[in-house]
Amino acid sequence: MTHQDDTAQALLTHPDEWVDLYGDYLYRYALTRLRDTDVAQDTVQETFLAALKARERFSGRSSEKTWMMGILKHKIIDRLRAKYRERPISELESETEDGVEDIFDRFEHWKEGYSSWETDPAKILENAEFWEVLEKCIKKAPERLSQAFGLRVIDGLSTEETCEILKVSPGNLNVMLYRARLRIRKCLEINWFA
Amino acid sequence: MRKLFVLLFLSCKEATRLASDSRQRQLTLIERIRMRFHMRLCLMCRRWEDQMYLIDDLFRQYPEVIESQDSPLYGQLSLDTKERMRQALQEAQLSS
Repeated sequence: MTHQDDTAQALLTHPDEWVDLYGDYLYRYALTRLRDTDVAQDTVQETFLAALKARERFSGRSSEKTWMMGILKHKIIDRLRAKYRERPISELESETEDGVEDIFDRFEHWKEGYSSWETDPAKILENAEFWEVLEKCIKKAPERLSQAFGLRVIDGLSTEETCEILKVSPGNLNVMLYRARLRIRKCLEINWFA
Repeated sequence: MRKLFVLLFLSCKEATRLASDSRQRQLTLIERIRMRFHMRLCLMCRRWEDQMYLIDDLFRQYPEVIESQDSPLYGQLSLDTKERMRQALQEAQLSS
């Protein structure tokens, strides 16, 4: 073990402290992404156990909290991969079931006008309530839409990787992302910006 | 003139769909021209496009933002669950 590794190891807290230090934070993220309390709890548990095994490889380049989040993100992707392998998304719901008909009229124009959003990015970043609304809006969208959006936008995976996990074609993914964006935008408008 | 208009015309639904697609793939030249033409004339779609960029950007930052926040009450693990996790961690330490 090099001197640098020693320093990195010294930055680690004792595993007995992890649940209190990071449990709520990791669970909050897992719940937003996985939407089911039991699945989210199991995934946080797996993350802690994986962290325990990988502890010696912790480089100290990021904080321990960020490192744990990195492990959790991988665990979430593994879960989603397994889930959609078993139950592939066979076909997209029709437009009428999808809530898009509330947004556009039969001429495909906006049904109702809306105003621009007064946003000061710096203020939004600090507003804890806003982020709870954001979580609510991604969880409110149909599951497969929000998973597509989460993998592509939050995780920043490529189109190819996202399609591979969700078992959909790039064309389908684009439709799903469009519908997710329509819904999330509308939800944010109603619950925050209006 | 009328022909040109028909060639360029997109509905709001089509224009916003292209705006969303532009984040996934390179639009063709004709798609880009049609979308820009629509956006120039349509305030609502311009707003939608701006808000789409904002939303994507906020979600990209989401993991880092909550890292700096305390967990909200509704998202907290119950004491029982925490105890279970602690025990599992301790058992794993003993067996390793």
